[in-house]
Amino acid sequence: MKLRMKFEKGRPVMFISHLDMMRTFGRALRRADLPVAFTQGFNPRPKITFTPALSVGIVSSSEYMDVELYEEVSVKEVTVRLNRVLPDGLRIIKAGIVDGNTPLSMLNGAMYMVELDLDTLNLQELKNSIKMLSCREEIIVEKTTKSGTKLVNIAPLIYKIDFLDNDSSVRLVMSLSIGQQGSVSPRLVILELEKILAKKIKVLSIQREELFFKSDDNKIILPLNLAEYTSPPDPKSPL
Amino acid sequence: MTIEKLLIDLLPQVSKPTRYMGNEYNSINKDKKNVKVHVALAFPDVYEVGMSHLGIKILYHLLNESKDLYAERVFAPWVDFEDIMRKENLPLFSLESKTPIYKFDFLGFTLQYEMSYTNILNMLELAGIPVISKDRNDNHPFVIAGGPCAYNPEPLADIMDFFVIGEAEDVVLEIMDLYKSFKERGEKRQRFLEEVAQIPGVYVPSLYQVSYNDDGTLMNISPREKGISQRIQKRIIKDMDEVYYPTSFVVPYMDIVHDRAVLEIFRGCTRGCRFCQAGMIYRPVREKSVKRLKELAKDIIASTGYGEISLASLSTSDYSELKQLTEILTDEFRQCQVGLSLPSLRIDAFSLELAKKVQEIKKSGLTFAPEAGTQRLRDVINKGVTMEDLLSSVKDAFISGWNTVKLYFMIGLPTETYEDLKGISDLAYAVVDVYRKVHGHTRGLKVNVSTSTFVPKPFTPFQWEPQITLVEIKERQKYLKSLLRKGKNISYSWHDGKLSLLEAIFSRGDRRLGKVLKIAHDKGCKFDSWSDVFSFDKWVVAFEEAGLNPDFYAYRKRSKDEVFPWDILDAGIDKKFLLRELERSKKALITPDCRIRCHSCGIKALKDGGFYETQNEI
Ligand code: SF4
Repeated sequence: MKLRMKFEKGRPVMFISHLDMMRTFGRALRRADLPVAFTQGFNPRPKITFTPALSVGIVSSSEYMDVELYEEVSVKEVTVRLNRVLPDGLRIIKAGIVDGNTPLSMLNGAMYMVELDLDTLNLQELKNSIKMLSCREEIIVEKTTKSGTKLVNIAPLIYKIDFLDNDSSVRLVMSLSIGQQGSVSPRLVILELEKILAKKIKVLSIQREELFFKSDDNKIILPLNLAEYTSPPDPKSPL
Repeated sequence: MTIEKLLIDLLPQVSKPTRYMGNEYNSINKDKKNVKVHVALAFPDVYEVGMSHLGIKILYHLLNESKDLYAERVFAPWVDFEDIMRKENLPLFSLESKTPIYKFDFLGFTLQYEMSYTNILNMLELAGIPVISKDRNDNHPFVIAGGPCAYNPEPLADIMDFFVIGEAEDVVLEIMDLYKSFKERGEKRQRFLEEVAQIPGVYVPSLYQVSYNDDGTLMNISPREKGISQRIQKRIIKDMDEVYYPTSFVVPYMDIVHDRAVLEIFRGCTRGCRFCQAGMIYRPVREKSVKRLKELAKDIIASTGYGEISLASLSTSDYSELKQLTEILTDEFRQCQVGLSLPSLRIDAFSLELAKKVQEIKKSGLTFAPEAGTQRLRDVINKGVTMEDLLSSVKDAFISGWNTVKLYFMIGLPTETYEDLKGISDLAYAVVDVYRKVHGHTRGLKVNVSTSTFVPKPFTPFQWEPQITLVEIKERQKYLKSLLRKGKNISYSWHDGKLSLLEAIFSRGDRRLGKVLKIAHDKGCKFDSWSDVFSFDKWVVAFEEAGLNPDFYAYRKRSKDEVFPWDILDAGIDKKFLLRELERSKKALITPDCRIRCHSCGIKALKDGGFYETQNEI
């Protein structure tokens, strides 16, 4: 059976890399004594898949992983047992059986909540700069990859930037592309806004809020629509 | 702002933020209000090195077993984070509660290698604790140290408030008890030092005075006052099944050097290699039983979730029931896909059989440590390996599918000639020939030869011997390079001779070296075992400024009656035995394994009855 779990990666673990997180879950599954299926061959690995890597230093309330078990265990039991042995900051929020759901590797969008420091900003200017950025058809940035630096147009990778404000804070909600077709991090978007504003923006926090699949006709599909089990919030690991 | 909050801003700027984050699974958080003694356990190197070390983990969990003790960890910040800490005035802090280290009751360092000493000074400075012991006052933690390098404590005598000699499991709890009562009585720092000196195994260097002869050698180290012990005997654990061993090890996030569960199977070694300090100071051999190991292994995997468990000892093959143990463990863990790894295995037919069974044959890399290139020199150092043994094991390994062989040697061993160096190269080529005979070609074969330079160590039969000079080290490495270059399948790597020289100085040095350490630290020396940070030139200047001659420590042949800085300690090994061994080495006479015959090394006096029941002493 294959399970899909939605989990949060909170502050206490915000600096661990994607690889660290994969290792951590592998060990937690063994501590939970769950019947995890392994790959065959020389170097058996647990059959777990994750959503695309989250940049180090960003917290998330919406990461996903699929785990294959070789024996039936109820979704609730898996969740409860796993939550008992996860380190602070990692927590399964909900889980369900994978059954024709979108493969995690196909996810192509992420929504981020970016909180900015009010003091250093002029709201109107900021709003204008967002508008300007959203209108552009071409935003060329340099990206360093394994094979060197290349120029990428990130304009099509920015789906949408919304602006939320109240008395105490300014927040941007960014929907950005992730996955194989190219990805852009919220920090990069902030950098572009800084260029337009010609000044520094102080970021207070960045949180990944949701991951989704956006179809060509702009339909949004969430990885886990119908969860079979939703875990009660754990007071031990506040986000 | 709390350190915790500050870190969220600062850590994105450093290369490996997980080093400073803490919060690993099984790390321990306690409410400081309910704690009577707060101990910082320090390893003077980066997180991933320190977290791979067993001793500090045992102490961490042992201390935290007690409700009123709280042990936390601290490692040396890497240079990038150190720069930020200095810029932001961030004091060195503990991983668990992010408490500044200067607020602790104790700061305890593990001494695993001499080249970590400058990091100790640097960590003290970053913590805001005076580097020199006598500059500390009632508001500062006690700075203490233990571990193998504490078997010559003198180079750190000015820095440490006291040392723990030998196995610390029992003695730390005695120290904690004393400290609790001391705190309640509200007495002065000095009083505690005098009292703690009464605990067997504790050495308080400031309570001893040192005098020197005209030629610069030691005249004597003696207690300043009556009632302070003349000699400090090492502490040992009598029963390895009874002794505390943790099961809920901290599970790091980042990839550390040894990222697996560790099961200590025994302490000590019976082989008696004459260069080997571990083989002498960890005597006698004491094993844990198969039954106890099985329980521990199960619990460790259940509470850590590690996918690999490694058996730890000086010489895995010598565990008396290795076959039974590995069978039980592989059976136990087959279902949950936990692999077993067997380091420090002597490679022979039996162990190859074993390795094949337990480790989903990792065909990369089999390690052999013949240590010397000719039989004569191997007899001198009492390394009981013959060329025939080695080649036949290599042959078995090649037949079983291995194609990478690592060969470890030492250069500069006492009596070494160029003939012996040539022997190293001959051995390497002989290994290539064996492969050719097995496979008819040499494709895919890799023979990695590596050499380190012999460092004479305290409490070994070679403690009287000089190290070869830096010039000579370079010459011998050059000679080996020229010999090994021609082998297509052979690669050669060597250990930096400058580091070996410094190791030789500090491993047998005296109290006066504290001054060198201080100057070197002031000049910015740290992470000396990291080649990208190490600066030998600064050390050279430090010796000059301190007015001490490195040659005196490294290159001098000691006379039989010279007083050594470590003579103040009793490691349980008789000097007469060491001298006997030295004499035998000169005649290239081997001394068989203690399991065959007892050689009266003296350890029986420490733990009555002896560890093997043989009475035929020589
Ligand atoms: S086998 Fe030799 S080198 Fe290894 S621990 Fe024993 S005495 Fe030391």
